[in-house]
Amino acid sequence: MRLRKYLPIMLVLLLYSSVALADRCIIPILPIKVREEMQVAIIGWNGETEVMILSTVVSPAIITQKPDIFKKVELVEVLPLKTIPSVEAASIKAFYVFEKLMMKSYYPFGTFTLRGGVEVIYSKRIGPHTITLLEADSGEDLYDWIVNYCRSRSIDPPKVANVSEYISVLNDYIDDGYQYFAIDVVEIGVFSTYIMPLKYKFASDCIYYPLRVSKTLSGETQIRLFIVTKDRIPPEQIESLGFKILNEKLISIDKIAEADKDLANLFKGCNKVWATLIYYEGPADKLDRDLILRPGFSLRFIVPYILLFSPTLAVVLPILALEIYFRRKGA
Amino acid sequence: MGEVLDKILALLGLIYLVPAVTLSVVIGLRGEIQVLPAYFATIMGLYVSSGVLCILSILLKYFKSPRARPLGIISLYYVVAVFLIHVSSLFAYAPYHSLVDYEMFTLLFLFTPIGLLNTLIAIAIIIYVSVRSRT
Repeated sequence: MRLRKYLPIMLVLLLYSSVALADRCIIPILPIKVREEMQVAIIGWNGETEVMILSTVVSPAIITQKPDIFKKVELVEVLPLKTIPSVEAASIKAFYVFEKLMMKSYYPFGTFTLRGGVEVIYSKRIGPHTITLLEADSGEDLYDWIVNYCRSRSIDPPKVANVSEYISVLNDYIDDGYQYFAIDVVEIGVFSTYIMPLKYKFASDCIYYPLRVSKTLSGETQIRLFIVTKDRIPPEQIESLGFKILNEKLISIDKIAEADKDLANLFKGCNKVWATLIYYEGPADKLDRDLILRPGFSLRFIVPYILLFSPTLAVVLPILALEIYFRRKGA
Repeated sequence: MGEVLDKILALLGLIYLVPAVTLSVVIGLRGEIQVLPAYFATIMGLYVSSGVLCILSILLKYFKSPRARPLGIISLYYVVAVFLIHVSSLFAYAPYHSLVDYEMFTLLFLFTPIGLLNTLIAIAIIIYVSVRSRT
């Protein structure tokens, strides 16, 4: 019965993302409250195309009276996009410090057909993930599709009081050009585990990572993002989102290729690219904006030059000026 | 005294200037000056300036400027001040230092023994000059 409690939340998560470039919702479809502990991602952007390698560390907090540790848990992740992405498995190698995820898929691969205004572009299974990319031109049809999607997994359909409002928001979302929805059904274990990373590649006019939807999750969350770009990202953009910049450096493209070749291929012709490691730790409900970044100039880029050279100039220039002055006076 | 002061100032200038400038050039060639932590850039800048000041006082002496000697004394005080700033800031900075900055932090610590040596020499000279000026 708790499903009914959480499914409306699931839909809220989905529908609330109407104005974002992309939202990545985690929606539990079993009576288990999911606490998202840490998101990890590698994001590469060359000005036109973004490669996003995503993983998440999830710890389900069991709220049933008698927890069954052998029961599988399934999550639905939703990633709305403006353009059709290619999706494939990413190597965990890219996340150097993380353990390999060992998970199996326990449910059969489902197929979906055209349903009114919702078209299934493709559906594929990658490890524990089942990815279904939808193209929707109607909020009503998309809502119906999600309801039926849940029913196909033996889940009671949600009883949402303000369905019309959700559909309205969803229509706004579609009107803004976000007609593609990547639906990812993923199994997770009962204990904290890394979700096997997936690599999305899609056209984008900015760097983005979905954050807003994370605010609906309970508890603290940690996010580590490794962003690769041709040019530096102004720190003001990053810090305004509550992130801290842990490190920035120029990295040769060969090293990027060791992590992921698709990522390196974004930067053909470049010998070095900027890699920025940013980090967020805090309440998930404080994440009220998506990460949307554009490389550019910042006055803070020249601060180190000023700090490095100004003491010498402050010392040398007055002394030389005084010396020239006194010499002219004959002293 | 003047001869000794000149030699020590030259020594201090080189000891401070060479590693600081070398490190600056290396970081500059790697294109990483713009991502230097503000703390690191500040300390580097102070060390470079103190080295330049010592060398400048020697140059003024070479050009027989009457300002050479007072500038030399000021340089010594400046050397001591920079080292004290460095050491005290290490205590302030260390608790907030993240592992990501480990490489730079280590490099910065290399300056500590050099700075300590320079400072001991500078303090000795300052005391010596002060005593001589009273007598």
